[in-house]
Amino acid sequence: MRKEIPIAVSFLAGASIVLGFFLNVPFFKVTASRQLLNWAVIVAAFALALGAGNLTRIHVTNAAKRGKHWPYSIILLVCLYGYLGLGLWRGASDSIYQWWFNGALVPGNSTVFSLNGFFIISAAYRTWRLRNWRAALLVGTAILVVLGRVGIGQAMWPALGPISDWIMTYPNAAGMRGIMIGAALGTISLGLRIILGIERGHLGVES
Amino acid sequence: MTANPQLWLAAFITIGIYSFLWKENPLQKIGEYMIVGMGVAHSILMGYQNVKSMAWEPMVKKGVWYMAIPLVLGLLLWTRWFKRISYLSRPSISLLVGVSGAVALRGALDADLFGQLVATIRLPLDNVYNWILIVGVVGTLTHFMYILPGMGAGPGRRNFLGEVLQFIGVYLGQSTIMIALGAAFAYTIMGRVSVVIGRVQFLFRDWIYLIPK
Amino acid sequence: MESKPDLPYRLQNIDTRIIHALILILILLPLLRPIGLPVQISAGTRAAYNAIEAIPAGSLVLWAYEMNAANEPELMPAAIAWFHHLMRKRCKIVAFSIYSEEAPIFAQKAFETVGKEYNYVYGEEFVVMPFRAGMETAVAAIGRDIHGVFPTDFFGNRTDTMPLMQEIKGLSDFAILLKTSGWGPDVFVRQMVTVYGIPMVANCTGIVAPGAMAYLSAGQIQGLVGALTGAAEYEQLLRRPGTAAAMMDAQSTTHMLTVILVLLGNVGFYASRRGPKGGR
Repeated sequence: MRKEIPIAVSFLAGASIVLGFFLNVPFFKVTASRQLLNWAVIVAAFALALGAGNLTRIHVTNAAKRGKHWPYSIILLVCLYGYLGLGLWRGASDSIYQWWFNGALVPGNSTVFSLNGFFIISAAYRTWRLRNWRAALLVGTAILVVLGRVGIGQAMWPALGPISDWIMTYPNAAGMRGIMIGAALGTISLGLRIILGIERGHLGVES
Repeated sequence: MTANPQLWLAAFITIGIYSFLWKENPLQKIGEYMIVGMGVAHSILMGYQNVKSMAWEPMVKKGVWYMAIPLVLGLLLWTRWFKRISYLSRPSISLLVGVSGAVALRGALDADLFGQLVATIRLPLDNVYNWILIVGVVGTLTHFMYILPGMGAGPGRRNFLGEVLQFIGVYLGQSTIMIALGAAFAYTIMGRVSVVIGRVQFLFRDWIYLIPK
Repeated sequence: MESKPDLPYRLQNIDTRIIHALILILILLPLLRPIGLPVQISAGTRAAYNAIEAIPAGSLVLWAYEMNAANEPELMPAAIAWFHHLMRKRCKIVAFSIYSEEAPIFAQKAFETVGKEYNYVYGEEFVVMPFRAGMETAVAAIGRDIHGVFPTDFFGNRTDTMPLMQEIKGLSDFAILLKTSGWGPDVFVRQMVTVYGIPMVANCTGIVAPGAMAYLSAGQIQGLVGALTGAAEYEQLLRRPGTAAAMMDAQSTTHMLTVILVLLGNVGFYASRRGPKGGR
């Protein structure tokens, strides 16, 4: 029963949604699919806390055992539960909550993410080598687009703007469309496998 | 230079994290651990608001009893924290996976598969650019199909069809993919750099007033 | 004694810290002394502008406002330009987010800044909805039952009493769907555009803009403002220079640096292959 019930739930939920999309039967079209979609949104909200549980366990253990970087574990736990407490007490639209949001969370996240800006330029410098015709196509396109989308490149050669626009509209769109169609085929087959109970990886069971 | 303590805190965190560009150090680590903790807290808070307004309040205030079902399923999801009873979370995961699989299936079929195929088939063949688009799509798809095991010509399995597929897949398909990846890489640089510009602007405009507003 | 590395080797192995310092300097200099290089308008941005321009004044607009701290510098300039464009036409905006938990606060902040300029009334002309979990499922759920998914707004006010929300029966009441996010338009095309026939315009970060071009060329979205450069183009079309225009010079110099570094690396690479010692 530990496997059968979850598989039945997947089937009933998935099949109801699919029937709701394709059949003009009010029960499937309105009642079942609307409720199931709303329920899934609610259950997904509970999932947001799952990571926090694991994070707490790892860092409480680390701090208790005086493990590697344990003082940082304490900082993490204080920030997590302190900020959560503040949010639950005052709400996310509260000015004190938003003071910390704009003063710490936004600049911190933004700065960590911006490190990629440095790394991606170093990565381009180290990896964009014209080793063969494929690499030459990739690097050539990248240089045309990287210069063609900014003022300095367009000032050097005004045709660069239209050229990069053309690359984006035709060969780039063609490649992306091919990738998208391939991915769609994969998504459809995965969806069918889930609904029919063939795919059971999410239950920790071999398909 | 600003006297606003909020901007000072933001500047401290920004410089602390940027110090990683030189080498790993405690200042950067404090900043990182702080924002991980706060980020997770914010996510949970948003999740709590979801549950409160979509399930709890309708159930308690309006008597919509069946909202107890997603609430129970949601709580069961947390049994994953306890190994002995973690199997109880399976129905909740099944609901999530079943619903999202069905939603994605329908969307992918209609928008990504039919929508993109129809857009390609309907292209007027009166200009060379549309031909490039069509050949590029066919080439990319051939490349993906071709690399599936058993579909290629392979050593000792060469035939005319295999040669044709190889030409389309390797030369036309790979060329199109390389151009698309080159464009994607260029745009990625553009995107990532703009975030650095944003941080530099913050430090030198909002914090120390070196750049005029 | 160890021999000093030759020039081709050094050209290929510039210290990362020097590159990082150069990036910072080349960003800072044009911010201190702006050059004001104009940018050419791309087809996607022009199409986006025309699509928004074409909606009647006072229309209902649904806006997937998926901004977060990581992409705010890249997306905020175009979002601000869109706010101005929509508010000039006194469009009624419903903002929501399903990918970014941080987005409602950004939407609130942007509204407080730009909305004041146009005397916008919250609840009548603008509403910010809370974040909803579930990603694609949430988008499908909003399509099916927008009132059921958003019984309250981000501030906890009931939406059924809001004049703006009372005008909405379903998704087909909206004149246009806008999307500001670090994700592609795929989910919205799949669950809203295809199902309800609502036209859509997207503002994406650079990393996803090339993928979104496939939707634009298929006519599934009506316009695309890609990356900061798209925002600068939009500001030009709107004749309202904003933060994107100020940032574009720094974008130019860093792109130039990238190209120069790549050229140096390749010169070193070929010199080392053709040199007396062969490749390294």
